[in-house]
Amino acid sequence: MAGYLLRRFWHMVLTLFAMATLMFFLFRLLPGDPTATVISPSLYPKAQEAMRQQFGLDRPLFEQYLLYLRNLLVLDFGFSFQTNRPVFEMIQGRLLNTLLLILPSMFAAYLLGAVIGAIAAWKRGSAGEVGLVFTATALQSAPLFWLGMLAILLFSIKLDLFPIGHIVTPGLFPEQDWRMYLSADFLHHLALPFLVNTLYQLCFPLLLMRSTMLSTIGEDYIELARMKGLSERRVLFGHAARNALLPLATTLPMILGWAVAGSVVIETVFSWPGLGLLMVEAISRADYPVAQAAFLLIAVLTVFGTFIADLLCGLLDPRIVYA
Amino acid sequence: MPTIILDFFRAVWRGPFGPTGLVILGICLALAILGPAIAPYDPVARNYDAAGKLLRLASPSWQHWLGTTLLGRDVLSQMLVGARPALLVGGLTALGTVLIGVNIGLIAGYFGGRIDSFLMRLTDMFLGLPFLPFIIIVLSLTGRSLTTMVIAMTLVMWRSTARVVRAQVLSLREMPFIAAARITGASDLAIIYREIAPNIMPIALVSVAFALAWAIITEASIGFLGFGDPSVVSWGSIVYDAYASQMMYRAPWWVIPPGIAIMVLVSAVYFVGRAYEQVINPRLRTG
Amino acid sequence: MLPSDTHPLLSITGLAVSYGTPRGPASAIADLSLEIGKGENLGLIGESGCGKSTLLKAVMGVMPDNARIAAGRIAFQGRDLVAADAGFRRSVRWAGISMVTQSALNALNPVLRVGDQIAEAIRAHRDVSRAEAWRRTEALLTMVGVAPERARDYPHQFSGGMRQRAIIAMALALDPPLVLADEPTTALDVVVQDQIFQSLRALQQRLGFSLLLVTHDLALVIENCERVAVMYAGMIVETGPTRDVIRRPTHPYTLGLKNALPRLGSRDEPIAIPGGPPDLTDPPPGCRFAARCPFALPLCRTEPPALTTVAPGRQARCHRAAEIDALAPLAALPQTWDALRDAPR
Repeated sequence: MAGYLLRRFWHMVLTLFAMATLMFFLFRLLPGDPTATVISPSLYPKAQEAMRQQFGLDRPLFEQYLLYLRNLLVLDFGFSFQTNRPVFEMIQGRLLNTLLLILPSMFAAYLLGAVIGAIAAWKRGSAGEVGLVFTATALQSAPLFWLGMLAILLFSIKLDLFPIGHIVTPGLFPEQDWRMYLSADFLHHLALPFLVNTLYQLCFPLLLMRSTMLSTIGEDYIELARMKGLSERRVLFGHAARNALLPLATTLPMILGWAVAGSVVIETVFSWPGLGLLMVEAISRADYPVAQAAFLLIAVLTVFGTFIADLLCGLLDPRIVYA
Repeated sequence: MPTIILDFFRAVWRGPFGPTGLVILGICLALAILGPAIAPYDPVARNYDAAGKLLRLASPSWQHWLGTTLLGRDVLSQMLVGARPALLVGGLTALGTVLIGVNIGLIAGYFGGRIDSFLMRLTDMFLGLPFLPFIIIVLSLTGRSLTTMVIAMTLVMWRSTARVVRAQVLSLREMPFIAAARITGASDLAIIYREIAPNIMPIALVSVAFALAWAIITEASIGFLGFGDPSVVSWGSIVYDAYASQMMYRAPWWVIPPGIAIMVLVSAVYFVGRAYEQVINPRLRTG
Repeated sequence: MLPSDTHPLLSITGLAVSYGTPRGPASAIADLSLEIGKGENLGLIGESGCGKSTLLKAVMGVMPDNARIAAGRIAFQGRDLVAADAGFRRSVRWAGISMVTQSALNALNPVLRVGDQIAEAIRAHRDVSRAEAWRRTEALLTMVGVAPERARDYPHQFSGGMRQRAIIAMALALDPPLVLADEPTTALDVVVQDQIFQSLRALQQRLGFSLLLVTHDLALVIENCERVAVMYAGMIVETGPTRDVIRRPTHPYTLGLKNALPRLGSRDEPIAIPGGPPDLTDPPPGCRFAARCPFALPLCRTEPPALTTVAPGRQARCHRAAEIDALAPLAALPQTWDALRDAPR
């Protein structure tokens, strides 16, 4: 177990390292002037020169690369072109905001998806089930940003139930005040993006749970469970569902990755000040250091999520031995 | 190859969902080809009323079935023209994804050993790459065009196909007919492409479907985030224009049609993909 | 409920089961009658696809959605299960009739502990606490020769023989009067197979349950069952005391099965019956075995024979049952069957 953990952890570090490298070369090689993505063009020439030295932009590419890695290790992402503040300061709070929206929402989506999917398998063939499968497929096929806009149109504008966007009412709290997370105003703002994201994300686990449960129904152990005189409910929820949870859990890393990456979209629609929105805004304003840092942090979240989800699968499947 | 395509249609044609999906896909394909020709107006031209006043946010009427945008552009015409980028980007990406993914999966699964572990490590790394953010960054650094979009998306999306194909190849590799081919002295390449590849075509076709669905949604998302090709009208960019204008909530006819179009198109792809999957994987057919 | 001693434990009469298939209904079981008394051992023998498994599923009441009982009764202790309500059927499952399935197949759920899978059968029928069910589970495992602490293990941690023992323990969990066994040792090696049957018989002596052993292996039936029923294409073609049936079969199919047994001290190759079972979506109008029978008469191809008593306690479904003594020597010759192999059907 310890060996497995260590190896898995090592893979994670390796993946992140590869991504950081990819980012370095993307940002230095793709645009015409490699310094354009590192040093703000709005700075005085003297300040530009100071930064050129700080980031070693006058030295060979390989040295720049080593310097870049070293700076990453000490969480030095440079300075924002926009605000001239250290990037690290800007992304700290954003990370929490993203997690507060995505994690509870994914948790709810998988829980609800598994339960509703199991019920769908139980009621297979009924009109309700066919309707549910159809609706889930359609929802899954709809673009998330559009669902978010429809929700705003209906619940915020027509019914005036929820605020249109943002994390709290602007001006209610001083910037980056942790007390805002405890306020009812925060929950009020969280509700709609949470509901939309959950509704969208639960379609996949729902459909998967239903179809894997239907495919386990032909297994011998399900037949034996029936022969034992267990109720249909126990057969499905105690046996079929238990087995279907496995394939469901193995998809969690992938879906978590999509969800974190998808936070770009949901945060944009709801003006939710998370990492995704930060990245989109930074790119639109050509604030490359911020964009790069936000991307790397999103990547860390994705990779770390995969790591956790892998461990979770091991807990669910007794056949997996950490050798 | 042609027989597998024929089998594909024969398989999907059973059941209610497959044919529905195929018909919708057919209609979208026709729109992608004919869209610009049958659009009643120039999608980016401003329209004026009889009095010569710009038709800002006009609600649906006989002249403009789906109303007009803030700049007085005809929404229906934009919708008709927008089918092409969706299918073009989706189709090319799906094709590229499957080409790369299938080959990597075949090679990793067949040769095993170091080649396999290297390719799988590579796949794992790509699996950790945040999809949409990566594409946005590449687009913003290299310029926003449909070509870049296709390349960037293909570069990331092959990862899932490679995994699925590799798993399939691993089990095929142990089959007697592969051993037989080896005994008769067939080269590795011949075994891979003549003996194994035909057997993974069904699974490759399923992954074409899912890649297509994903690529279409992603193309729209990129458009919506404002990173699409500025010279192209796509369903995503229609929503972006509406969103950026801050007027979308006053003009539902501007926002609702593109979303529905994407939803219907992607659902159709899923319907076809699932119908085919059920035929090639009988275990899914129960119930 | 009627006192059980006035009725046979299980009595099946005129059972017919059909499957819906794309080519129309397939008659998987036709006109099947069977009886098992208290404490009795009955062997049911037939090749795969003859309807053995369908019969077991019908008795257990777990038939697939596309199968239905077209006619007949399955009476357990005098009460018809076919017509009974779902509640009664469920109470009979496992508590009245349990089943030992093949362990080679996925009979144990891979993600649940073996002990839990036994205990849940107990708790489904008896109002006992979790701890009590677990104690009973450990006692059951000990009884079948598995260390009780292994109850906490998962199926993949068990050997094939242990899994089979666990399944037997599961089948005996509620002291059922009748145990069905479906090819219980097919995937096990001969030594383990022997051990399993020995303990099964010892348990039977102790607990007094009746056993219906379903198999394609005639040798197993000879060793373990005092009565045998031979099944072919969904019908019982011969039944009687095992010793009599083997010594002097009255149906050509049984003669053929006997030929396939390796004989001690004989150099002759076992003779297989040529051909395969008939298409059950379109069963032949006459005897279902006629196409593979070397002694078939024109009558056999048009007129279905009835199951008739040929001797006390013995029945056969053959038009020529009376002449069987004359046919039996012929059936022992390979040429008899070879002729059939060469002739166009």
